[in-house]
Formats: sequence, structure tokens, C-alpha cells
Amino acid sequence: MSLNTSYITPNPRLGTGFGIFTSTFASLVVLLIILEQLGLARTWISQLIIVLPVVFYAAIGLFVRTAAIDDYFVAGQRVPPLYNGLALSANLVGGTGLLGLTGCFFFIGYDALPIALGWCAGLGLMAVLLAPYLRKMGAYTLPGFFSIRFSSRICRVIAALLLLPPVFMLLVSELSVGRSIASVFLNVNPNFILQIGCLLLTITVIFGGMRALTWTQCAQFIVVILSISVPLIAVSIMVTNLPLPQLSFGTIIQQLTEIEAERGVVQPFAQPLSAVLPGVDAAPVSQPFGVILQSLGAGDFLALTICFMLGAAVLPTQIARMSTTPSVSSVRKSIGWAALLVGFMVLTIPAFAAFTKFQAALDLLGVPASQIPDSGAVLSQLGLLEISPNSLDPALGNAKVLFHRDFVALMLPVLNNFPFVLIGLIGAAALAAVMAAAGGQLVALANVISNDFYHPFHRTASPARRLIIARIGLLAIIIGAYSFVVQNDFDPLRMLIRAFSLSAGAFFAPLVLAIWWRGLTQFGAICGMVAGFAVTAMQFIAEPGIAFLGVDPLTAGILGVPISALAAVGGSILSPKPSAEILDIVNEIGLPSGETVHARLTRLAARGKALKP
Amino acid sequence: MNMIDEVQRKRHAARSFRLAVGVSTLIGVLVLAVPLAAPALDGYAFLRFPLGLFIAAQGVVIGLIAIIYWASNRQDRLDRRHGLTNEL
Repeated sequence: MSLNTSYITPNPRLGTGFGIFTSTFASLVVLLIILEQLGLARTWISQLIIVLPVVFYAAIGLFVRTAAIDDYFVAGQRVPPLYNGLALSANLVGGTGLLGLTGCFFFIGYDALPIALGWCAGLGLMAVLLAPYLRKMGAYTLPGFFSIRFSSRICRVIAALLLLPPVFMLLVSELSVGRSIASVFLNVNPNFILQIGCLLLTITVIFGGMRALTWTQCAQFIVVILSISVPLIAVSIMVTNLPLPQLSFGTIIQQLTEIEAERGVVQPFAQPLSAVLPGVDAAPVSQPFGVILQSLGAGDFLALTICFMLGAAVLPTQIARMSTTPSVSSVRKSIGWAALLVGFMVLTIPAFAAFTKFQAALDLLGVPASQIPDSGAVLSQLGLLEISPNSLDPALGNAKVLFHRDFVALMLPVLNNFPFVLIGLIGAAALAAVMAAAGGQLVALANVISNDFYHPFHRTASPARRLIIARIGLLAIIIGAYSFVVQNDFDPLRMLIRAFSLSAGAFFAPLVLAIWWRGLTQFGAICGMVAGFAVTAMQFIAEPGIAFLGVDPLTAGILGVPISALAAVGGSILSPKPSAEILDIVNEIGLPSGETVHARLTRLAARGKALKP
Repeated sequence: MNMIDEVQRKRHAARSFRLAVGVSTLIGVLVLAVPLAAPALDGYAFLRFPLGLFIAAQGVVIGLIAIIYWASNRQDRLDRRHGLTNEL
């Protein structure tokens, strides 16, 4: 039996709304295919398929604007599990993950598997170790959880400070990928594209916060799933006669292996992760698809899997979504949906890469420039690859073909001579994934600024002022992220891996211990977070030659996590034991029923019987 | 606050802890051990995939999804058995 129980009713028309959105998007694609056949110029098709959906997302964001604090920070806590699952998946995969992972499978085959497995396993750990307890706490942000758990403002501020770098790194990696993809389709200055993209992204989330983000992420992930499935299913039917590419591409692996052997793509020796991972610059294909643990050693394979698994489990943008569902049970269900959707992506991306590589190997590898089909010229014109004739014998010598990792996904429709609209469709999917993830990071950071840096020191601030601070913070962050992307050359995928590593190193051990160990103290949690963050960050700035214990700097999180755990336990042992009130909170988050701890403390604070959370 | 006696709370907490540890271990084994061991099975085929590759990629992912659903249902049942099923 429990007291103070309330039932929050989700909007019953959500399904209808998203059904209409999906039908509208499908109609747009069909209309553009018809117009293309009637002679509409590619420039127009590019602009319409890329720009219209983005404008539509911004319209959704404007339509669901809000001035209610619960709506702005936690979407009113009434997001049904399926929709929260869609938003969680969009947060996790993102444009960098979608394009980077497809490119990695294309270049290094199944040695790219740790990223995919890490996403799914991270959701599993989140479901059993963290999510129900975070939901019961009811905090708006990850630092907010620490604040209530330890009744500590200092712990909140430190967690917020440590949260900023990894989330900002994820944000800039998404913006960088978005700029690259949009530049393929829109013939204007890339930085101008980035400015417009940042403006639309800001409009999408600034007025509605988490509420606007949730519904736009759902729409965006629907676009991602549809847009990568349509061309892939078409290719699968053409090549294997089966419309289930995730299970049918086994038929081409054997052929692909033989073609690769013929064309000189041979099994490589094991190298460090940093050397194996394809970079952002154009490069030749040098490793076969259907092998595992060939170029990547077992140690690096495990380290990368662990970093993604633990990083995905405590990713601050994901944690921020834990309080958006109506109940503890529904947060578990939402992670189940997210696992299904991310699992679908993880099964689809290797199939996408396999069919692309199969066609690319047949048409482009090991043939003279004169024998490369028209699709090669189209790919070259679009800037998706670079073809140069053999310098010794241009007529008979094999042409040199260089592929761009982040553009591999766009090659499949061109290689199969599909209508140009389908190339644009993949571009729209990539941009939708970019906007979904970037929006998630932007909102998470803005919420932290308002809730964890401003509110703890201005307890009497009105809800309206808190929203204004969140919006000003959001503007400052997007301007900062834009400046960073314009002024720095970096590899978005490596930035993403570092961000997952940093999240894991700083937050995994303290968060798990805060939920499962009553003895963890405020001092222990701070020690754990700071030590894990510091060890992981120091590995990033170390020279590759002096990486500690042979751990690749990209996966430094595997050193950060145990150091963080040791520091948290050591700090707790050395500090005074937690008070009875704190132990009550730990007991309370283990009970899935009743009001949230945040709601109870807010109610008591109104009567002057507790500190406002 | 929830009106649940201390014995019930401790029993629920202990069972939840056992489930969390068991499922986390299972996830760890599935994700870390299976992909390393699977290539030994590449001599066999399944759905025309080399069996090792199929298990390491598709098999592990499908297994993870199944585990997440099973664990969520199991925890929901556990909560219901202890009378902790009310919405927040």
C-alpha cells in the first residue's frame, strides 16, 4: 500500500499524430520520386528532401512549446514507454553512430562490432542497475540525482562540471557530421549550413525543452528507420530475393570474401585500436568484411566494448530521459523498446555495410578507371569517394579508389542506380539522427545549467526565471558548439568514443554504488567521480606511445572505471558514515511504488520540513 | 513514503539485487566472452552466415534483447509479489 499516488495520463492521440507524420513523410518521398521521373532537377530534389523534414521538426518543436517547469525539464513525466524508447534510441545512436558505424563495418568488417554490442549491452545494464532507481528518485538531471542522494549541493555542482565535457563532445561531433552530410546535398558554404542547422536545432528545442525534444526525437527516429530500411530492402530483394536484409546478407559474405581476395583486400595483422579505426579522411579499403578479431586484438576489442557498454549505461543524455515516463515499470518497458529499436539498427547497419561493400567491390575495386561504371562517376561528382587512374598505366592499371568513412551509407543507392531521391532519403535519415542526438545533448546541457548551476544557489527563483536561464544556457551552448566545430578539425567518431569513455570513467562506478551501496558517502562519490574523470582524461592527452598499461587512449574509460570505484569506496571508508535521513533515501529508491523522492522532498520543503531538492 | 514493513523491504531489496547481479553477469558474458569464442565456429554455417559471425553479431544482439525483456518482466513480477506495483 502506498500514499500520495497519482496517475498521469499520456496523450491518447499520440499514435494518430505520428501516423500522420509518417504518412506525410512517405508521401513526400513518393511525390519527389514522381517529380524526379518527370524531370525535376537534382538540386531541387536535394533541397526538398533535406530541408523539408528539418523544417517539419522545427515546427513540431514550436507546436509543443511550454512554460510549465515539469514539461520543460521532464516532458511532464507522461511519455509512454514506446515513445520514450524511440527517444532513447535516437539519443544513443545519433548521426555520428549511424554513419560512423556503417563506415567502420565497411572498412574493418566485424571488428567494428564492439560499438554495436556496447550500445545494446549498455541498455541492458541501464535497465537492471540504474533506470528504475533513477526514475524513483525523480531528479531532472544526473547531478540532481547525486544532490538528492547525498543531500549535497557541492556534489551536485561537481557532477555537473564533470558532465559538461562528455556531453559537449557528443554535441560537437553530431554538429560536425551534420555539416558534412548537408554539404553533400546543399551547394552552399558548409559553415553557413552549420549556422542554419544550429538555428533550426535551437528553434526545435528552445521553446519546449524536453517535451519538444521527446516528440521531435520520435519523429526523427521514425524517419531514420524508414529511410535506411527502404533502399536496403530494395537492394536485398535485388541481390538475394529476400526482403529481410538483416538475415539475408549471409548469402553474399562468401562471395564478398572471394571478390576481396581477388582484388587484393587481404587479412591484416593486428594493430592498436587507434590505427585500426578508419579516420575521417578518404582512404582505400584494406581489410576484408567477413572476419572478426583480425585487425583488432582481443584486448582492444574488449576494451572498446566495455567503454561503449558502461558509457551507454550512464550517458547523461540518456539519464535525463529516465524521469520522463509515468512510472518505474514504464521506464523499464521504455528501455525494452529502446533495446528492440537499437537492436534493429545494430542488425541493420552491418547489412547496410555488407551490401554496399559487395557492390563497391564488384564495381570499383581492382578495375581500371575506364571500366568503372557510371555510378562511380556519380559518386565522385557527389564527393562520396575519390577515383584516380593508375599513374603507371591509366588504361589497364587498377584505379585508386578512396572512400570517405562517413559517406559510405550514402553510396548504396548510387551503386545500385536507384533514383536520386533515395540518396537524399539516406541523407535525410542521417540528418534526422544528427538532429535527434544533438537536440538531446543540447537540452541535457541547458537543463544542467538551469537546475544544477543556477537553481541550487537561487532557491527562491521562480519557475519562469529557471526556464529563462535554461533557454539562455541553451543559446550559449549552441553558440559555443558552433564556434568549436568551425575552429577545430577533429574526427567525430573518435570524439564520440572519447565521450563514452569519459562518461563511463566519471559516472559509472559512483552511480551504481550510489544506488546499490548504502555506505557510499558524499565524499566517496566526489572522489570517485573526480578520480575516474581525471584518469580517463589524462589518458586522452597522453601521447600514444606512453599509454598506461598498454590501454589505447580512446578506451581510457576501462582504467577510469576501476580507479573511480576504488576512490569512491576509499573515500567512503575514510569519511563519516551516512546519516539516517540519507539511508532512508537509499531505502526509498529501492521501492518502485509511491511518490518520487523528489516529489516527497518538494512537498516537505513547502511545509518547511526538508530542504528543497 | 511507502507503507511496507522492514522485513518485506529487505527481502525485496535482496531479490532485486540478486536479479541485477545475475542479469549483469549474463550480459557481461554474452557481450565479452561470446564474440571472442565464436570465430572458432566459423567452419559451420547458419542461414548461409559463418556460424561464428552470426552468433557474435546477430546472436548476441538478439540474446541481449531477450535478456532485457525477461529481466524487466521478472522485476515487475517481483514488485507485484511484494505489493509494490502502484504508479508513481
